[in-house]
Amino acid sequence: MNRRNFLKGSGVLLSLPMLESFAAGTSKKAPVKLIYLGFIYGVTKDNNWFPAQTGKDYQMTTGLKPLEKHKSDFTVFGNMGNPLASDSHYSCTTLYTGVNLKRTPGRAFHNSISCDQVAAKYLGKDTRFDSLRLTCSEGGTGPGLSLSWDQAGKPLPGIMDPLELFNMLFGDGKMSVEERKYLISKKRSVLDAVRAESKSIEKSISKTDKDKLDEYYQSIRHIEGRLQKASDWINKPKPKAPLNAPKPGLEGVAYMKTMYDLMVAALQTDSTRVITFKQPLRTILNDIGVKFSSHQLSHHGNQPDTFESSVKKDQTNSELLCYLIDKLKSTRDTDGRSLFDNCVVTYASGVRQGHMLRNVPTLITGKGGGHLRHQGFINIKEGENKLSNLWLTSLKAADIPVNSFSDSDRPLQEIWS
Amino acid sequence: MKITFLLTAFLTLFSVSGNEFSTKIRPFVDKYCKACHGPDKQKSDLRLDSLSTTLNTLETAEEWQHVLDELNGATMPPEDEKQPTKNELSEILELLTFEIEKAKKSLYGKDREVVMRRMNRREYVNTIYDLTGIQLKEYRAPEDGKSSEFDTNGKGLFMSSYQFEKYLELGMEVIDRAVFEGSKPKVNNFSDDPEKRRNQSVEKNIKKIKDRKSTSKAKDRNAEKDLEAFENYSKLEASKSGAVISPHLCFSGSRKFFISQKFKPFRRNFQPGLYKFTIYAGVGGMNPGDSALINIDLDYRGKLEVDNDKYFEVRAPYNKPQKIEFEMYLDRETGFDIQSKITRKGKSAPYVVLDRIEMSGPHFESWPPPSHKKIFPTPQGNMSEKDYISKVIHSFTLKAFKYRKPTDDFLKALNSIYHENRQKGMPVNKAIQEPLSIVLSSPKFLYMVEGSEESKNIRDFELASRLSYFLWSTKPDRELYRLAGLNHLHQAETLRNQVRRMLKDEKSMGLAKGFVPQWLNLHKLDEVDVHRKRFPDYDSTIKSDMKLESIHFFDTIAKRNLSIVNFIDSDFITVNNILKTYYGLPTNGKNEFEMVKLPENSGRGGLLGQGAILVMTGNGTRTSPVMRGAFVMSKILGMPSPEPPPNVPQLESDKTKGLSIREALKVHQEQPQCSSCHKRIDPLGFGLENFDAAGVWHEKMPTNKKKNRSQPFDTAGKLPNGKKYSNIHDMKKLLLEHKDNFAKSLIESLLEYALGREVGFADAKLVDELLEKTRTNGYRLGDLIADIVAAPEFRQK
Repeated sequence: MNRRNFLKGSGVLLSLPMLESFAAGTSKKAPVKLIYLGFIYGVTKDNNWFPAQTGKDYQMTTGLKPLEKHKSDFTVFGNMGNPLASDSHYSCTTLYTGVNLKRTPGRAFHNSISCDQVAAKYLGKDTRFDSLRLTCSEGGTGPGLSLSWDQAGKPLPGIMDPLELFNMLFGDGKMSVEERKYLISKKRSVLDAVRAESKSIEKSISKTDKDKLDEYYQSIRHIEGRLQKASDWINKPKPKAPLNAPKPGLEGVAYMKTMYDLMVAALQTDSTRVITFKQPLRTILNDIGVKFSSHQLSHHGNQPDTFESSVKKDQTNSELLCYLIDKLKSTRDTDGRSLFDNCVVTYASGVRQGHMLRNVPTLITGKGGGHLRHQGFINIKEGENKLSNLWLTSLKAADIPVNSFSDSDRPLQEIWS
Repeated sequence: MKITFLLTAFLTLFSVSGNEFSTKIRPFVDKYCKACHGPDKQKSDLRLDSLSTTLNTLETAEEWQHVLDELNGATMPPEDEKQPTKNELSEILELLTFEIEKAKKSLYGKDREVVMRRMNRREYVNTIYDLTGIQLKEYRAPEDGKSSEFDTNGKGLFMSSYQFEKYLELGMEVIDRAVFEGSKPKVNNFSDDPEKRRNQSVEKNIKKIKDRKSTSKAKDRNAEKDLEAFENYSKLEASKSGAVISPHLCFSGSRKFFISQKFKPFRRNFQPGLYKFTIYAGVGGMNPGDSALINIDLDYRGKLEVDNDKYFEVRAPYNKPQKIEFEMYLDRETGFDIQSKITRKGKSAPYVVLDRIEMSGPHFESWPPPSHKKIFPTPQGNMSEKDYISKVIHSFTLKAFKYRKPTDDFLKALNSIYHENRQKGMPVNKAIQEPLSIVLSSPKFLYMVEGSEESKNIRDFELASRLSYFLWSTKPDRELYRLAGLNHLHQAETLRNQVRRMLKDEKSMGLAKGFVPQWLNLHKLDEVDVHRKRFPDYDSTIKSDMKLESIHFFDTIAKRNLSIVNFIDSDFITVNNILKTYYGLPTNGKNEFEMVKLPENSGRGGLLGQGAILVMTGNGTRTSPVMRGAFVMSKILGMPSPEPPPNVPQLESDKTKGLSIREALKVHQEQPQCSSCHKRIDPLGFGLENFDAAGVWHEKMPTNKKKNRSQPFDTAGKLPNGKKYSNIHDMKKLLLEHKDNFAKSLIESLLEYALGREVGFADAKLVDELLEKTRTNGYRLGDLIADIVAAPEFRQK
């Protein structure tokens, strides 16, 4: 079915930018979308989350139980990790970069590009936003402003406020095209002024300082890139929002559901095809009546009260993930298939529990445009158990022409269809 | 260099010589690794027998780190090969862990290069204030994404497009708030009798709970409790004459509803500025010896802000309320809380009654206000708008750029943006916002630009900035610029005099506020949720005051040029009334932080008696000798404190069930992977057992109901060199024997903060010299800071 016809047929009146591929009728398949989720401080003790048996017929664990109805549609991995991770309190810093953070000789702190940003370079070309980065500000995630790191290994900021996200995706305000054009040209003159001024420093500073100053240029170039995109899209109004604007001040479970709703809405309207979300935990714990801090839970030491709370935390996280999967399954993509059919969702933490950085909780779901076949619980053998291999697999599923990512050695054939 | 040699020998008291490393590691490798990773076979391309045992490069340290990881993970030697004994393994793990950590720490910063950095969040906010008179709140500036030890290290301070846009946006706001148009805004008056709203809301809540009760069968214990509390409130005589604010009157724990009186007047047509307040308040239920304070707390969304709270003691009875007057700057985001702080708890606790609140504002002493005149000085003679604005832009830019010249093209561009705005019909005060906000987003404002390719030494104007950002966390003042202009600032005597002057200035709180939380990792305090039922006296005010205690303690030592040995043990502490009460010390009228002499034999002295340290090294319910020991080891003894290995699981509880914490920790030490570090760490923490998880001192353990007698704490432990202590006093005596270790570690941290780079092996000479100086100077902090500033490294790029 033609995309526009489909939209008409479903009674949703959306004004969507005419994408080349559709205009030319070269492909009927909608592009694969990628969602990367990261959470804080891992899960409760081994057998409460990780299945005991491998294969599709494993017995559900308490932590995964809320996901039972989707059992055949996701794969849980055992034995995965970033072999180069070294700081036991960094749940998210190198989760999607696979980097040796502190040990690179001579450098105090060094990260590299995260897999979502590799994908954004390709999948972001035809959408209004290259990628969406949603984030939280909470202890336990490690340095970084979101899960995403740019080409130069610098932290990329993200959005925390659902309303801000909603306005960015769907709010056009009341500005006319002319006014917007004026603002863009104005911004450009601002950038020209600071750039000219920065050049005058360059002459007098050392090589290292020039590299540092380059970050500044880099940020200006980024904004210019965005302005370019804004002016390319200036005649295309933002899509009509398929949901209501969120209420301000949401917290905990309600906050999470709203963020998931907005993520789905962003994909549904093809506003972006790549999303990362560094998920909060503290407000969720408050919401479900857990009185311990997230750090305390990760060191439950098998004390009955903390242990119980920790299991409850895992279950709530799984319930929320289930909510997201439900939503993806029930929402149609532009090609008439479900978003779930066309996406890859990964759900992971850089810490297993306590201070363990090996064998971290890792789950993948979504059919990846037909590329993925889920296998229940798989233990990946030593030597191949790098998270970067899984991230490479996700990139492959989205037809991104790369053959390696970070320290990867191969995509995981185990789930390849 | 006999002195240096002795010093080095002394400081390596706890570590092994390079030679020993080699003699221990070689036989181990030969025995257990060589067969697969030696001359005959090199499995995984790894050969260990030829690997250097001198850890003088990061690459070598890195190779050994991989060996350590394998041993910690118990993956090597493989199961079917010969295994090392527990003792062998334990010894090798300990050796590797500490030697690698030490080597890495000292090898970082090898190039001693200071990377050009942008201002961090704190410095940005302070600098904006000094430049324009507009106070931004710290949390509104973009986050630094902390990725190095100190937020003054350029390597960890990044720049992104988001940040750039944020600087532009904040710049617009700052200029908007600084400049005014037209005549002085009218003063608004506002008054509120809070009891009416309060009583209505209590009635509403009672009705709501009763309604719910009548429709639902299930018994809701929380609702019952709430109902009782609300009913108690409405029965209270005092509730007729004012809003009663007391956390303890109706509930045993704290409930927001009764603690705080949120007050957000003038939601519409609000004009930021200085507001005058009059609060009429009284107390009820007072016994002799009780004291009640009200705390006016600007709404800072829970972020640490120093000195913004105001406290007033309330003594008048509630039917004859007293008048409390104060002034406060309010902007669009401020609301404020009025909380009561009462010394006695429980259902018969005293309470504060808020009768009436009056406020008026905005008040301006002069018109236009100083912030406006800073940007728009009165024009001299007859000047066209064009010339005047060009002067305004030029002078603002010079000040913002710390007297680094802007380019002509830049100024031209700013002027034309202004005129374009004017042509679009904007008034002068709006048209200027954009050009000046661009100045505030330019590299010469945001970055510390230093040095040239010709010379390693920085110029006097750059030195002025370094000095000022080190001691004040803000831009230099006139005096520093004057001396820089004369090219005198770098002269040794001038520098010393300036340090003395600057430390006396109240802006030097910037050093304590910037350095101390990072040095001591005080952010960890926020990660601890203290058990509310077990420690009902601990609340958010106590928490933030504890942080301030550590900050003020440092500030006092620096300002009064006292000895840094006070950090190990001191006969005074710096606390306010709230903490005095919490620590069981007598209070006086004011609630300011001040030096308080400790009674004889008090365990409170030094860092190890500070609430923040004691609470953050526990889990909020129980103390943790492990974490306390790790703190003593790294911060007091200055020894490396490695992160836990990435692959060692937690202890299983069945092994430690029913054991005392001391016995449980013994189990901890059975596994070589744990004992390699914990046998050093744990015995350092027991000395602090008299302090509970909320930082309160107990002479004896709380009474055991079964035995009906209280027992003394078991506070015996030992230092890594084997010397034993039996209690906190002995422990501190032993720690004082190692004051040079502490001094060295503090010097290194201060240097890292001051220079904005890592300090390692390459700086050993500098550190030794500073240590030698501080020892002969009686370890005085003010002098030590002056010595750091006087060191040639402080003037080098």
